[in-house]
Amino acid sequence: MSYLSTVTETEREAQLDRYIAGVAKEDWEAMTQLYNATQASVYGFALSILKNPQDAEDVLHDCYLQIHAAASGYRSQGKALAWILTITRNLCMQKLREVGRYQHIEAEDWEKYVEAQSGMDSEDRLVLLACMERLSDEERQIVMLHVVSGFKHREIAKLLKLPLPTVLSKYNRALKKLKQYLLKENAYEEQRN
Amino acid sequence: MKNREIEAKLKRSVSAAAPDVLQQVISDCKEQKGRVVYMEKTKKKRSIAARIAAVAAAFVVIAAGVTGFQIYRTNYRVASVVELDVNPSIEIQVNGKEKVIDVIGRNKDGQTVIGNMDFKGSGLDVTVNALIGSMLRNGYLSELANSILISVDNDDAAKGADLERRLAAEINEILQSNTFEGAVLSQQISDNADLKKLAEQYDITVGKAQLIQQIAAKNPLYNFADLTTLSINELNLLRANLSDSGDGALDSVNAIGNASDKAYLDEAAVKKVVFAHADVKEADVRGFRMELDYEHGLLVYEVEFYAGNYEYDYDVDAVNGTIISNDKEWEETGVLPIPETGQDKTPGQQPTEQLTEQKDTQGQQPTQQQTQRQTQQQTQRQTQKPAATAIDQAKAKAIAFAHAGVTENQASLVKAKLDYDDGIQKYEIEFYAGNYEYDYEINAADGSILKHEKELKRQQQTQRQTQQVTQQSSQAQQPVTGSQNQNGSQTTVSREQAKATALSHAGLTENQIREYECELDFDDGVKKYEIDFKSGNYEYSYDINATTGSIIKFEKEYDD
Repeated sequence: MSYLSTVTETEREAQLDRYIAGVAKEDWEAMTQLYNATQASVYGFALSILKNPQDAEDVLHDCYLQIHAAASGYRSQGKALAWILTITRNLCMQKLREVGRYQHIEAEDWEKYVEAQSGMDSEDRLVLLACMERLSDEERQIVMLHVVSGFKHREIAKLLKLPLPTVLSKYNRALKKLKQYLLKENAYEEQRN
Repeated sequence: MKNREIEAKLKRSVSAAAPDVLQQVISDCKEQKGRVVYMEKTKKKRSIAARIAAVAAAFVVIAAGVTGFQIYRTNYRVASVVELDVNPSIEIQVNGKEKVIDVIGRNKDGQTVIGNMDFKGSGLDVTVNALIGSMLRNGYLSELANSILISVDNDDAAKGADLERRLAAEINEILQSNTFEGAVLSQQISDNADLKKLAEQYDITVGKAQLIQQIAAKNPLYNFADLTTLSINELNLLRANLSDSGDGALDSVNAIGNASDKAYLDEAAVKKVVFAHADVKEADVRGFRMELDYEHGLLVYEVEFYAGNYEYDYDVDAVNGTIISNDKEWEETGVLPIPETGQDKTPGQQPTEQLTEQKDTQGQQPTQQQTQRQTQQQTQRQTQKPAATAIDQAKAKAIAFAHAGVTENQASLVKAKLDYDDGIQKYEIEFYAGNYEYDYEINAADGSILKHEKELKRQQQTQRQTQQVTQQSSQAQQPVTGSQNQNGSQTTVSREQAKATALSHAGLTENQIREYECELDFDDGVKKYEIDFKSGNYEYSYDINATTGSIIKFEKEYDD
């Protein structure tokens, strides 16, 4: 996943550790950097579990409050992002208990949600839409963790407590689904034009 | 198209879609800052505060209007939520046309009732019919437990009330066609954030939480947490009891039919049990009173009667007739058989008050000496009562709750009474909250705390009754119930393990404590480590079973 970032995984983790240490000392600049570095991972993972943008946003917010509250007790093991995403998942589970279910969103509402986003081209929108609509829960979580958070399949298996071969096959199947969806949509677009 | 391209697109789109809540996070974090964090209790409190702050913040964000969300939020909105509670809890979401959007089992029984039925798109009446039918088939609604609670949540109060009425009538009709009569409670859910929090905390429906809150509000001896374990039928019995005993009906709950009490003993059966125990004849009994109540985590009958020169008090398990506590008190000749209505005489307090005195003689006639002692105490108390007290009982309770850091809602009051000891008038206040038992003595003249104790709650009621361990007696003797007696010749737990158990229980680390002491002791057939240490302004003492490693006792006291 070299294209994801120029820094290596260890450098990234060391950086996150420093940010968290800063957050423990109420260093808001460190909080800003931590937020910028991990926001997409947290939101993407929350969205993949909750399947609801509003709830994912709540979790995104709560997650950093929780990090702030727990930062002083955090012991670096070179696994800062895994720690943050574990917090995210716990908050998501709490959210699901709160609302008692998935706040199911209809396909057309996903389209509206995706349409309303800025900063992405139409193909990006399509991928996001396909990810939310077409993938199973596990597939979506695996894809988000791998693509957005840069987790290795082995790490995903550990975090989601799934066997590694399952993660690998689900990931491949998910990408295939996304690809097919995109090809079909593109063909449809071309016909219409 | 390559995988890598798709991955890049997805990553870009998620990053772009992630809303920016950083400023909100930072301002909320600053708000959290500066709160004192020391003991586990406070810590828990803080996380609740943080959650409230988080929820509040979420509202701010919503109010600020997040682009694109408003449109679709209104589109899939649920018009009404109907909750059915029996013991199974089921939530039905319907849209404006009363077509079902989703049916959710809120507990395991609820899921059993739903089974693999799919209601999406069905009419509400059809759905309710099918669900009630399933509850009957599965035996959740029966002659023994015939109560169902319907809670309707609709932003439009008039529409909600209409729906509530229709559903209550319909469900009542379904139940009437059975071999037994049903009891239907219905209510509208008020939009209350606290209630939702409580419901979430105890994993019950908001409707049930609302019913419990109203019942708990009518009787200060009930506490919310305890009532959450009761079924709707049991709650309905308590509710009916409150209305009957003059505490008043619940404002917002409409009731049809009567809750079944067929699962509980009737008056004749209760009389038989208590009269046999007291060894009195029914003909000699005066002023018999019996009331269904909820105590010690059970539905009990509180029974009171007079015979000869004695006043008897019993708590009897309403299901199987076991006598949970009993008390026999000498009444002076000529005293009318009418219970006095003094402040320390409310039900629930009286029996416990006597437990300590009676523990050795339970089920036996009091000796002559004891009766005399009791008489003396009574006269003594009577002469002292008129003395002015600067603070009243409610205030004393508030002082104790505040000191313990618990709210009245969390506390289950065991005892609150005015006493006279060592020349001081004081309130003895005893309550449970969480897993702890708290004991306070509050000076009635100035409200100062004379003594306080916090102990891990005993698991079994019987243990609690016999092990009224106080500071003074714990050193002299450690009472242990017979079943726990062991020959304990072997010590399988090391000193280090015992220390680790105590520290982890206290939530402290090695370098946070001082004046650590550990002694192996053999007491009442149990080998145990007596561990004492200090941390901050607190003094901790633990007794740890040297054979099993379990915590027998622990105390945490403020050390001044």
